[in-house]
Amino acid sequence: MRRLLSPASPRWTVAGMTTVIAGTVLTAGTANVKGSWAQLTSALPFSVDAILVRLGVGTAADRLVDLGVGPVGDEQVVVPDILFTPGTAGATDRHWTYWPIRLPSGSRLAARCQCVTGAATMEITCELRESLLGRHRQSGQQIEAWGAATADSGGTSVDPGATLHTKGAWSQLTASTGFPCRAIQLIPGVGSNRGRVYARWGVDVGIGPSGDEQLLAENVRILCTGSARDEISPFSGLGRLLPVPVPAGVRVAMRAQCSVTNSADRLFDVVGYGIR
Amino acid sequence: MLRTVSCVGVQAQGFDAATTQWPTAASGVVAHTKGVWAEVVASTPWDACAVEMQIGDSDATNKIHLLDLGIGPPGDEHVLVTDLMLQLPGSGDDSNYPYFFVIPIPKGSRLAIRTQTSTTTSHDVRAVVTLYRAGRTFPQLGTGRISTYGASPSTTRGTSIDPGASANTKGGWVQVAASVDLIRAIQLAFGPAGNVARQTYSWTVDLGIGPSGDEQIVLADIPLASNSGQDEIVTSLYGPCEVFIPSGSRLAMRAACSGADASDRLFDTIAYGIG
Repeated sequence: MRRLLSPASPRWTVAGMTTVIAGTVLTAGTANVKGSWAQLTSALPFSVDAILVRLGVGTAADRLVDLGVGPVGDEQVVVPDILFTPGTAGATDRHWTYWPIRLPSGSRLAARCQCVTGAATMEITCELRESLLGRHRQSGQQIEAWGAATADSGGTSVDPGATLHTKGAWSQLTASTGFPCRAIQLIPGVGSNRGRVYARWGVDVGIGPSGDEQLLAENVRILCTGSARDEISPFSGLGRLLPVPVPAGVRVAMRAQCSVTNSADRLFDVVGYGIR
Repeated sequence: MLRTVSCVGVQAQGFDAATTQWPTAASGVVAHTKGVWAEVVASTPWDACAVEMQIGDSDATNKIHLLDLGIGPPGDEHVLVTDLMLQLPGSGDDSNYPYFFVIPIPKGSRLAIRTQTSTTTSHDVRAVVTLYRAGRTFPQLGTGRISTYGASPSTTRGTSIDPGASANTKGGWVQVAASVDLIRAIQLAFGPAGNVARQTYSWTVDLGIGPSGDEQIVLADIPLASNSGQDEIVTSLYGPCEVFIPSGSRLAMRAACSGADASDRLFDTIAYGIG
């Protein structure tokens, strides 16, 4: 553990890094089935307020990743179904997502994955962060996933529709949130479509019943840079952690407009996450 | 108790629905010189507590941008954050550098952007400026003042970091700034330093503070990677993350690289400190 210089500094360390560069290898089960848990750290060195999850070194195939805590054989999922859809250059690309989740000191941290391709591998490392300023305002106790499609290791498909530069219909991520959320996270993916053309989307997020969605986020950009990468970016960095409170029991949906009308390339997958 | 949400909390500014596009700014035709300001939004819709800036350029020319975000009326723009780095390897990849800053921006503000490149041809940079409404759950860090360290506007570069000739071994510390203001959160940008024929390499990077020869690690083992197909450095942006760096501290960086090629092991960096 790296101790920072000032006593006022938050603590910070990395879990899962096996050598100077490489992360812990996760192996998927049979197609679209979660594989075995792989330990990242046997005991968290301090109470963690946030985790920066880095996923990479995987073949170009859609995956869902769980982060869990607990002893061997009794892991409990704390971050479910993190969507990971590396593109054509998936061999080294590293995607990171930020999770303001509070985990107690001494907990064992592990991860597992599923992939549309059976037995596919990938790597994971986690930065464990203490937050002195945000401890009582930002970190959550529970995370639920909305719209994960475990049958194909993807997410909910969002279709902007065939009319260029026009918001399409709302796609439901969840019919009812399980608890009050202080923030939400959104991870876009390619939905197993690789060989894409360049495309950009303006995305809205809304809550409420069908036909009466109220906007939470408006015209947020996501981008596919084309077949050289075949990735939908930006991956969920802090900028995609939306600090918008969402009540329990509400429907969450997403819609988009796109710069292309190609029936395959205008689509994208998304998984949403509610953070308590 | 959570309040029921009844209004937009996150909104991209300057969105053109007719083209699904966001604002651009053109660099000047003089290399290493900022172009004119381009308006993003004439009047922000509400008090904001944070801003995300995705910057990109779809032109295939190998170049580097340094971009400023400004606030104020035309002709009287004040820089909020300077020299946001965007390094493009020439693949025509409209890369995303999603900078994020927790800074207050009052309702009714005019926001603008300007840029410079390393070339003598004018190039457009696109900036998606997304505001986060005040009163949300981001902790307010200090005054919201952002300081840029390690940028070289005269060459449109960052600070070059050399891991040294021994693979997988941390090289010597490289100074990024001789003295910084108080920093409560930091964001680090990384780029390929204009090298458009890279091998597939990996790095781990340390950020440290303190006098030369007595650097203390603040952030350790930040992983980076390059791919011979895209010639980029990923992750292009790290953070923001909470740190405590006292005013007057010297800022330095070192790295280990999986390879030792004299050109391909190098990368650029610029640090953005929030006080």
